[in-house]
Amino acid sequence: MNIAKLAFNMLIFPGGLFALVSSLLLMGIDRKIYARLQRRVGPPIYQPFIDVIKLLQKEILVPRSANYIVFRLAPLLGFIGMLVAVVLIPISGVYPGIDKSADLLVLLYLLATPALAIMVGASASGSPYSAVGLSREMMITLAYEIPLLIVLLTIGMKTGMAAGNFADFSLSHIVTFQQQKGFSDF
Amino acid sequence: MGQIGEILVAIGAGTYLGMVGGINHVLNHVVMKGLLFLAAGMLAYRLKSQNIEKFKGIGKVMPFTSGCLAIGVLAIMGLPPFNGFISKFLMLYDDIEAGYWYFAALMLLASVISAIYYIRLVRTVFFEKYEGPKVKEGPITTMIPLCILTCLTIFNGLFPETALNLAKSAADYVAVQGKIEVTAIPQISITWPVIIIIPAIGGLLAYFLGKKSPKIAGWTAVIGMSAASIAIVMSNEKYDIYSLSFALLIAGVGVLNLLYSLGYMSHGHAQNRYYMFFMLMIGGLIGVATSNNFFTFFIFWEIMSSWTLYFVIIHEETQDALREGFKYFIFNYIGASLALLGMLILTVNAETFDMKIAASHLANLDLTTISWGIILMTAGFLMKAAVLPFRIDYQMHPATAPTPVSGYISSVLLKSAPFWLIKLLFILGGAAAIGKLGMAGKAPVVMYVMSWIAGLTIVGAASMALIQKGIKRLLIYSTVSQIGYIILGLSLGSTLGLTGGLLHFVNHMFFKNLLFLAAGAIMVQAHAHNLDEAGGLGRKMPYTMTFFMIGAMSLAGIPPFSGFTSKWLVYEAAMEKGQVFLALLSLAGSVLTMAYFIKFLHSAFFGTLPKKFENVKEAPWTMLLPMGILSALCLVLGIMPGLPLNVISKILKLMNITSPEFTLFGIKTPLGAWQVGVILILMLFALVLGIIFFLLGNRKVRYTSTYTCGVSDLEDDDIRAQSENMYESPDNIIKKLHKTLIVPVFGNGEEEQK
Repeated sequence: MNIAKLAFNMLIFPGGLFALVSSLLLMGIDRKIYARLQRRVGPPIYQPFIDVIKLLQKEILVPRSANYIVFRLAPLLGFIGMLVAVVLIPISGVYPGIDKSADLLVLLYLLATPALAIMVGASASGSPYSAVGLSREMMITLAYEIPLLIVLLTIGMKTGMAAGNFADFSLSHIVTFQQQKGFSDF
Repeated sequence: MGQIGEILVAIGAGTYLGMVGGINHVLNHVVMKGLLFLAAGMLAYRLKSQNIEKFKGIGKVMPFTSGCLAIGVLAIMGLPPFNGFISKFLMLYDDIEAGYWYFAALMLLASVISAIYYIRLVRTVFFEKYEGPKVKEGPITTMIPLCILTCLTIFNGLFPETALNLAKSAADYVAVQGKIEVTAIPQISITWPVIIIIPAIGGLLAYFLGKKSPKIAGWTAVIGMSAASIAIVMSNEKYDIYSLSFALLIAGVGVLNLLYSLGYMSHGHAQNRYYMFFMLMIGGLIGVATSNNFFTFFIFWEIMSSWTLYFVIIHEETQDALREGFKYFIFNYIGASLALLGMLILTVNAETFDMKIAASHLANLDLTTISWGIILMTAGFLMKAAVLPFRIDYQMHPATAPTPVSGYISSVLLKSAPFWLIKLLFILGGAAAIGKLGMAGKAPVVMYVMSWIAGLTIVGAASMALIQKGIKRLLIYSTVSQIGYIILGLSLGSTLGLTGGLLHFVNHMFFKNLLFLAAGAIMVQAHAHNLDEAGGLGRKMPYTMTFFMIGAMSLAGIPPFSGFTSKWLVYEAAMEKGQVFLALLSLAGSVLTMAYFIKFLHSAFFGTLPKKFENVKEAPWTMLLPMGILSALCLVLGIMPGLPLNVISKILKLMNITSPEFTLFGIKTPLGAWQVGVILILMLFALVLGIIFFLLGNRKVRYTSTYTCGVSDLEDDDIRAQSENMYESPDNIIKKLHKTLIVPVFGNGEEEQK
């Protein structure tokens, strides 16, 4: 695997710059649609960009009861997990993904890291409220992981059975299958 | 009386072999009973009472006489390496050969029941508090016969041929008189390889040299164990790669845990005794790993899992420790008896103890009988592996043991069970034999049942871990759950399953030991025994916290830490075999794993620091160094799964199973791929990007007081969230399920604890 290519994928497209811009843009559109559905005017589409810039200007508040290193590093852990997940997912016809290096189950774990990072970071702050929040986040995670697992395993089985195996978790195979059969076949 | 009954049964069987066994037992019995009566008589004479109540704690006052008594008791229980075992084994062998397998089963049952009162006797003599008057040891004239009888007991156990030849000549005479056909007796001889003698002698040296200074005892043990590891490396030509790599892991982790004990036990009592039994236990375990003969295998199995284990887990001598240790001892003894019965059925039919020859005979033998032997052995091993989803507290090793020992049992000793399951089923070809009993789909029924037991254990034990408050109980439940992954992997019996199981075998060894050692550091430095007492320790013990986090990330299987690769392989294996529900159960178990380790992390290391912990210090270097080495191993094995896979592929070759495609940094399966190298590079780039983000923003840091909604009169101790407050609703669901599903049928072990 070519490291320069990996760097490009990670830093420019589809990770890094592209992911950040497109995700913030999608978030803006999402908020706009929400607002319109509720008959509000809503914030402008570029609002998340302004928010990020503003939040970056703010000084960093660290509670005295916090475990400084873990508190500061936890968001980074979530960021890494998410960005790697973005790079791994193929975009059909545009980006082939980094095939043969990770599959659906790896992706599942990577998708769980942001939740984990938030929980560890919250826990490290030492505040009783964050403990409550952490407890509830874990509850939600326990609740949604099982249906998510069932869905992902089903996708794997569908793809694999088309090829005569019991399951196939290769991301590129799943995307090809989807291209051939359309999303309704899942 | 029971013993005499056994002799009658053996002689009554009327075969030549029964005669040899019976006469041998008479011989041994004379020695054992003589020893017991002399020792007990001496004690009773000194105490002027025969009441067992008066014997309490006498072992502390008359150590020599009581020591001899203890050896006599162990011998009469039929525990190796003492003489009682040999004759008992012969009689059982004869019963099975004559077809009276139910006599053998009855005899084993009787020995389990007698073990209960014998071990009580040992416990009363040694581990109760002595309250009687001051007494002296017996005079030298009584010591000499005691000493001779003890030596005979041990000698006949270690080298059974001598006594056996005596018994044989007597039996020959009777056979000629009674016209009984002379048959060949089984090859009972024990070879004591140097890799087992070294730890055994090291242990004895640690005991005798370390009487004055515990430091010397500890260092002797560490040096002895290191020597044993070197000896194992040197003897690499004698053993196959499977036994050798396990033996090396046993000795290597043993060195780390003994080194850790130097710091952990530094304020403990009777440290020389602790080091001796720990070393003997490790010696037995090395024997279990390397023996290629069913008879010696079983001797080492009993040494490893019966008395040495008992003495080492009750080291603290508290009431709790004694009760839990006793429970675990009896549980192990029953498991070992099952395995012994199975092994006898197998070897009697194969007419050899040698594993290779027995394996080659397997195909020509009566398959139903053989498979029952294999099933009984499998059940015994599964009991050792603690995989049964109900009343896990029975089969768990107790939390009251010293932490280095708990860590060692969890990470290494319990692995003897999956190790032997794999050896029995795949290397010796047992899987093919039990396949003849019936198939469920493409897998033998027994293996199918095993995989379901493992799947249920994963979720059951993980959810029980979630509701625990005790530091070590949480980790022990977690061990039970993780061993479920190993058993699940191997019971699938495919390339992926076995690779995943074996990889988890190694990974779990390092990360679980690391977690136990880190937990032990908290317990010894902060004197906290449950999670509610701890809190905020991350600031006082930063290294311990870092090591714990590495272990916990490996346990939860966060890529790229070590647990991920192996668990991922197990999931893929389950899916490949079409076991969707098992894959789902094991994946759900991982989510629960994440939940309980965050709970541990939060309650022990994060949060506000209680006032009582203001003077807590970081653990000494003897404790930090083993933890550091284990963390490094977790990281290395996580990033380079190719290192262990290289060995595993050689092991798979022994079983005639194709190995998976792998490189140093990754592994490829028919279902997908996991290239740690590529992912790691991506992660590093992402890290750079994240750091750039941090640097782009405002870098000014301001410290604030903890946010409490404006309430200002709360102390730090008031605002710490306790472990019982976490995850209330899932906890309640688990508790309710436990109450409705398990308690009515199997009783409740949780209530007894707290």
